[in-house]
Amino acid sequence: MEIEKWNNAAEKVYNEACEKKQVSSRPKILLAGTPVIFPNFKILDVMESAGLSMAADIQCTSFGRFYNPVSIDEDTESGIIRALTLKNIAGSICPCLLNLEKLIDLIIDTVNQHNIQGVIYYNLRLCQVFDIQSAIIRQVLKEKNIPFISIKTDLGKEDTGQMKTRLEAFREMIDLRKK
Amino acid sequence: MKAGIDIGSVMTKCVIVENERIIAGAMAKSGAMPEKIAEKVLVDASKSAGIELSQLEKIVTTGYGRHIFSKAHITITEISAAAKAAFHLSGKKNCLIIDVGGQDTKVIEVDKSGEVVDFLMNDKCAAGTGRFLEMMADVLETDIYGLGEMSMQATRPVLINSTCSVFAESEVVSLLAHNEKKENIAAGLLNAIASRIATMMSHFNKENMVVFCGGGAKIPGLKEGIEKISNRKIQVLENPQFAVAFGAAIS
Repeated sequence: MEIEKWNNAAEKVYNEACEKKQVSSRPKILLAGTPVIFPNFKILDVMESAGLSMAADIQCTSFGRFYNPVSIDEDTESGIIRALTLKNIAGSICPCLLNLEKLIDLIIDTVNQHNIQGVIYYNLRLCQVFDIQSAIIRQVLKEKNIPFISIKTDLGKEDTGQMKTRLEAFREMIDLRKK
Repeated sequence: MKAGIDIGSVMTKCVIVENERIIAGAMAKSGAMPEKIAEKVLVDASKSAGIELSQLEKIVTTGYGRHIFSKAHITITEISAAAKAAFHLSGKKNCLIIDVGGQDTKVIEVDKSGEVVDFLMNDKCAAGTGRFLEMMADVLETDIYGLGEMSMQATRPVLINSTCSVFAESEVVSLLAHNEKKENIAAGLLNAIASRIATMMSHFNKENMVVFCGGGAKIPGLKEGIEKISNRKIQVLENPQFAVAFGAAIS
């Protein structure tokens, strides 16, 4: 059956992931803010080349989806579908539209959970109309002594060089702190 | 003895440092072959220091071209280098650094142990940087220092709305066509940059001492403009253009 095939494959991937221990000494980064959507992997490429590794994210396209639980009130097919619908349609999972206090809590929780060493707030211009959040997040994280950088960009590739310089400096900032 | 080379977007600067003091320096336009120029300034600097290249125990590169120079032992970003230099030259105190270079303008906050706490940098294009002033100086038929001196004689600075070179150029051209005095336009252009930098500064701790480095620190009138708008005292580092190279050398 299809579902069994799926489950087996998922288990295999899970076991593989458990076996792989993180060997790199790269700083662990939380990527917050707007999503990385195919085929625009610019931020990940630049992070990789700047020597940072993404350890967690709270984007709407990946882990951001899982923070709100699916609450099933009725254990039937229609009950499950209703619960899934409510989770995916009724409640917004967009981090740009999320209430700021919740967003900050989410960032700090994730930082603590995954031993994050720095937070990158990825700010895609088409997703986020006004960049108001990042100033407040910057303040809060500064008080908690968590390195923070906001990267404002769009889908073009022409700012890759400048982004790299900034992320390399960010890495140096984290490296110095570890010492 | 150590060497620091700052391969910037416009100029390549090299200093030779002994016991945390600059003993020689050299500078050249980066041009189209920055690697050759980096080699050249390194040779020039060591010549004027009277030493052989082999006597250098460490060569550190920084700036946009930091990865292309194969003789470098270490590379660091210009942000860390600027922080190192400013922290050292300002007497090991926490400070806020303004660095106006050819292609970017940075504001860096350094804490009392010399660490970079936070920094801001223009994110996409070279709007509001040294290059911008260079292009505008071209339109006013002078150079970047002439532009600064011109601005000192302004009687009524105009308001320039844009720091985008393309838009500002058309603004300047239309102001010239309206018979506006060059001096007033020059002052307006410097004000546009100064207010942009003052906005970047306002994101950081307001008590820190402010130091100014990079080639932009040599433009007459820019420091005063920033001081006026941000209402804070600014100290220009000695040899501002070599500061980042020096920071690289002592890192």
